[in-house]
Amino acid sequence: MNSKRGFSSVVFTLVVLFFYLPLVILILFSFNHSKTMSWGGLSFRWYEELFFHSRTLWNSVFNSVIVALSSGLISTIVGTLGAVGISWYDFRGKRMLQVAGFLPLILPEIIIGVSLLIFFAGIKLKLSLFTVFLAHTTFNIPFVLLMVTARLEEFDFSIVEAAYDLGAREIDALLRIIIPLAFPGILSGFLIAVTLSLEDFVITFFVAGPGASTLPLHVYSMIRFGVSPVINALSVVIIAATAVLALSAGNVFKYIVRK
Amino acid sequence: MKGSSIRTEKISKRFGSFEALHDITISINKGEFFSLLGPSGCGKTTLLRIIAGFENPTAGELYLDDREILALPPNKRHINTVFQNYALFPHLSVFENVAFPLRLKKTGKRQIQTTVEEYLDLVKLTAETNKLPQQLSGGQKQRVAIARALINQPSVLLLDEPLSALDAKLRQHMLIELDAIHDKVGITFIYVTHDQQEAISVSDRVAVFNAGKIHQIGTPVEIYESPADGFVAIFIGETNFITGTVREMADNGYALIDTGPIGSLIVNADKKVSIGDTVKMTVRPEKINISAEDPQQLAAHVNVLRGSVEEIIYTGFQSKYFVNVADTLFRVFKQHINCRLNEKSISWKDRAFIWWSADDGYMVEVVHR
Ligand SMILES: Nc1ncnc2c1ncn2[C@@H]1O[C@H](COP(=O)(O)OP(=O)(O)OP(=O)(O)O)[C@@H](O)[C@H]1O
Ligand SMILES: [Mg+2]
Repeated sequence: MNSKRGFSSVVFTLVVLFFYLPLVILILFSFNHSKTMSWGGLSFRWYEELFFHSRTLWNSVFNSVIVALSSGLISTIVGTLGAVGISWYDFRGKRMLQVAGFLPLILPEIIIGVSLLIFFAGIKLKLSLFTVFLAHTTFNIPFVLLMVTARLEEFDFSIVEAAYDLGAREIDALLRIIIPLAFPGILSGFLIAVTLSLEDFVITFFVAGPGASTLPLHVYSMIRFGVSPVINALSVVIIAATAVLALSAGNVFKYIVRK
Repeated sequence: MKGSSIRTEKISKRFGSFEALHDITISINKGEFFSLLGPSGCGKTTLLRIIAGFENPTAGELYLDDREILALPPNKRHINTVFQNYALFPHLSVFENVAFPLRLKKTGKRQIQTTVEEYLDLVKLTAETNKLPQQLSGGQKQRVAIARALINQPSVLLLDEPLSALDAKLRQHMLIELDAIHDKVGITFIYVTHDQQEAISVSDRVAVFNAGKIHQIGTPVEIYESPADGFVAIFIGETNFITGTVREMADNGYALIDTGPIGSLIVNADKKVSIGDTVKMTVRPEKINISAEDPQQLAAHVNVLRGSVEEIIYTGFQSKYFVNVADTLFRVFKQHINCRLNEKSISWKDRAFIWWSADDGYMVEVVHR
């Protein structure tokens, strides 16, 4: 083995360690009996507490899932229709609308959060889980728009003309041609939306009403009183769930990439 | 005839300040195989898109069987299109592509099955039923596009350079099949091409376009043998142009043209001319004879010129000679009816005689004095 190869594999190992060592430690300490960072023997007590004595935490998980799925769904529908409209039709101000649609992607989250808060206060909408849903839908739409637009741009407009030519109405062309063709883009848009919604902290922080805590908010509030080992246990559960999801979703991603 | 007639009345189309079509008036008969022929960018696709309903003309009218249809959207016109790039639906199988128009009409399952099979049979694609478009060859894609466009039984089928993506051999073959399909379904075909060979070999009539204007509408023989102007003459095949002034009107409709260094030529006076008019005439290369020896005993009204052979291109079934006569290059195509090796051959730089009958010359343009 030459030294260049040796050097690069050392760097590689260090990088991997840097990424995964914290996770390994976290997993380890979730089985620690002691409440401090010193090893107090193997124990499942934090898992017990997590599963049987953490009602508010599970409540926030439930909130997060509800918001993620609903905002993911609505933003996918709105974003897809928006992308279709912008791509297939010609109208005045099309370019401007396109830019306006993508702008939130580069806007700092804190600005979106503050502006939404002011907006909700302005229209006298009480902060609740519903405002969280509205906020998440808002910041998710540009991502779906981006994914679907990218997909649609690969296709020649003449297939839509061909559909009209063969007797299709606009709704037929949309349902039978455009949506099926854009479907991989729509699906990845939806998955991104769900992920972003699940992990969002900053924007949610501004617009969540009392009792409408999501998982990231809840974890943050727990950490303020010191790192509870329950969080370690929760993290391990989430890592496991993510791994299972990623493995089973592998086929979905393969489908997206292949298409 | 099941087809419909199509008539355009002074159709013009502007894109901004650019005039893509100018006063296009064409009348296409029921069941006709009609070609729009012209160089790239002359407006053929634009006219086809106006007929299909994807584009609105700036001015003019469009009649389908004497009914004005410009206000109708594409899906209400009973006109279907085979697109320049086929435009097959990439996510649907061959069967589903062809079945698409029937599915829209909510046709019954069994009916769809039999009808699609019938049309796939018509275009000889029964073996590829379940393939996706990306698994097909160019010729097969084109057949799917044709079957899909025909299944609605339109009264007019528009074909936009459907063969341009195919190689020369396959193009010949598909052209013959297209002609057969046209005979079988009996509807009106409007066929766009920039290939004059394609246009004149299958069409009933051809409209020759250039830069958004129609130069001539006629049968293939008419546009080949009596082109309306110099553009049509040269676009429709190779030719020779000779310009001169009318010196004398000979008996029974011939004119004697003074062409300067080439000498006096006699030509059939196809157009009204009088002494002193400037005339541009054309002689097709295959109508000119060539030989190394002075041709004896020629009939009356034959032009004989003497020149030197500049170049010979042997193409198998014929040879192309380029003969210099007083610094004008004449193209002469000679068919090899007998084995070429048996003929007394003409070679480069040889003196040669070329001759053609006055009836084979044609006046394309006349400028009256
Ligand atoms: N949407 C448009 N906007 C502006 N100009 C256009 C548009 N569509 C066509 N043109 C112009 O109109 C002219 C005719 O175009 P058209 O597509 O009809 O040509 P064509 O005869 O079909 O050529 P080809 O044989 O290359 O397909 C071209 O000069 C083209 O640039
Ligand atoms: Mg074209």
